[in-house]
Amino acid sequence: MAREDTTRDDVLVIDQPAEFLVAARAYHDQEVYEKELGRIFQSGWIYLCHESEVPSPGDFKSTRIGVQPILVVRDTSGAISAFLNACTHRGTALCREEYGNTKLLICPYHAWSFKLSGELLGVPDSDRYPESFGTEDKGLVRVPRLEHYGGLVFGSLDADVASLETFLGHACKYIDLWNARAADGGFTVGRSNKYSYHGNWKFQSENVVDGYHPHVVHRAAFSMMRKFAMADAQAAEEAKGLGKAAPGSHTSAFVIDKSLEGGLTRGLPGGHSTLEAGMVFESSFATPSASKAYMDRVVELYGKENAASILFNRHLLIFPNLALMDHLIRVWHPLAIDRTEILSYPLRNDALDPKLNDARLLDVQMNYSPAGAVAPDDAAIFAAIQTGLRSSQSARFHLSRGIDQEVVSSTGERVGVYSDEVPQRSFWRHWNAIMTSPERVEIDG
Amino acid sequence: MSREIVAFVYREARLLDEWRLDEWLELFTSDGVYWIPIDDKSDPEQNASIIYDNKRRREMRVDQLIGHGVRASQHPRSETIHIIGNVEVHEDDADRVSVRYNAAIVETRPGDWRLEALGEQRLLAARCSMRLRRVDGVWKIEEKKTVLSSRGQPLDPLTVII
Repeated sequence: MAREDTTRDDVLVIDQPAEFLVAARAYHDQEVYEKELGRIFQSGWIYLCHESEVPSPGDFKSTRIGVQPILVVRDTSGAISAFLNACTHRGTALCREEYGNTKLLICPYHAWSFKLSGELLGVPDSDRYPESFGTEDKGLVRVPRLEHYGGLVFGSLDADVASLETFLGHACKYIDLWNARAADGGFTVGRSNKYSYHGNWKFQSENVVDGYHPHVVHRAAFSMMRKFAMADAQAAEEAKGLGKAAPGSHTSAFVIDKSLEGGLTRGLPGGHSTLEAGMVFESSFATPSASKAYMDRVVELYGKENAASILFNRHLLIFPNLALMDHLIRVWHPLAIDRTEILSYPLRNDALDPKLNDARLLDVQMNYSPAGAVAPDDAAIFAAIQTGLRSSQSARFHLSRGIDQEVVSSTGERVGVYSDEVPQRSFWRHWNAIMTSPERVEIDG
Repeated sequence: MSREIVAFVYREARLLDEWRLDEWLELFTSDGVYWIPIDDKSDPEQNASIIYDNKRRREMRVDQLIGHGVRASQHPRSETIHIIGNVEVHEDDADRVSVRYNAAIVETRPGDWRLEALGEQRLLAARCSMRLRRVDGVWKIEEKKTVLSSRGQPLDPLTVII
């Protein structure tokens, strides 16, 4: 690869065999941010919701693509659609709630009404409009593409984008493993815990698959969990040779040696990645018997060899702003260049022992609430990065950890150890391809 | 009795403001619950809350704050000032009381104000309630519920105990 001129200010990502650098400008330059809102959030697929969030006709959910307000609706036919949450008359946001159910969407300004299919149904006092004023072309602006994979609903503002499965690529396999954790049932998403931080949205994309920081930032949390786990009869249990179940979402807590045996990071083409601890994960509030019964069932359904891949702790980052984790879905949205909100949706599983569901909900809450044991400390770090970014326009950051030791497969997957920066390089490579390409970016591999 | 209960409410708040967290833990019954809901009409066993702590989880929370060195979101420690008013005491019987009150909790993040998220102050407002039970002559909290007016939206880190 030709050596990039590292002194040029417009080069934001430098991808070289022994060094991977990202310019500070990529995080805090307003022009770059505006370009991201156009390119990153409008060109690919963006997670909208889980199917279980809008289970019945008339159900709706408000969300965002980038900063654009989006309304996701299940219409009377049972299909899910998504629209810009804006009246086509004069732009008023139609929907003022996060969730609800409605027969019609009625604008609070002049009461134009829309069917759940998006069609403009009624314009009050329409005789004051000219004959030529038709309603057919004034339906809600539809998110042109909407596809499902594994219960996850994604939308794209690019009508010509390649299929969702093409976009997900290698990540499909890991979504399947994640869904297999539901054993006999399926996932239902619960009300989210929500917090915000002073920092750029990409800090979260980097952090959720970062295995280098937990033993530092989450030291107090893990130290506390260890103390209570050891004091408590509900600690780790062997289960059919799969290894000890370790409480806590970042299971590196329980291994003092940072080069976690069996743990790894995986960079996938298309900007996706995984952080895998190589250990079974279970809620620290689950009873050993409930946990064992669950694991036995997974083994029974899938066989022992497959069960390990299914049950092992894994954070899966779907580019750019979605993480599928153990017992939760997390999605984050930019509010401003230096402000981000994160929503953490606990998963329930209708086939599971209800007590196990409750225990897992508690675990998500314990860690990812604004008052949680884990997430708020990352938020504090992000604010500190945002401060450091003020330092210099030409500063570059290093994402070179493990760069010369990646095991690259023929399919393009790159694998490193748990603390390597493989996921971050995957993210930034894809980010850079989108941001610098004049054309649509095809995903290799 | 009313004066005694109001004094209890003030003392609970002062223990938190003074970071006397071990003493604060002692205020609860062994089956006591501390709930900061997102939706106070829904079942906290089945739906997410900001906090829903039994004795053990309260102990974990306090332990993480004072037992294991610093945590980034409380480095430096937040300073809180609880301002309490609109107190209404209801005596159920000689040993059981419920009390409702409003709280304005001013949280200040001290430290270097030139850093993002430090040197900032926010106002949290809540409708609070406690159910108290007399145990061996001493009032203890069976349930403390803090219904924040901002509970429905994303909150910046809230790791100080309010």
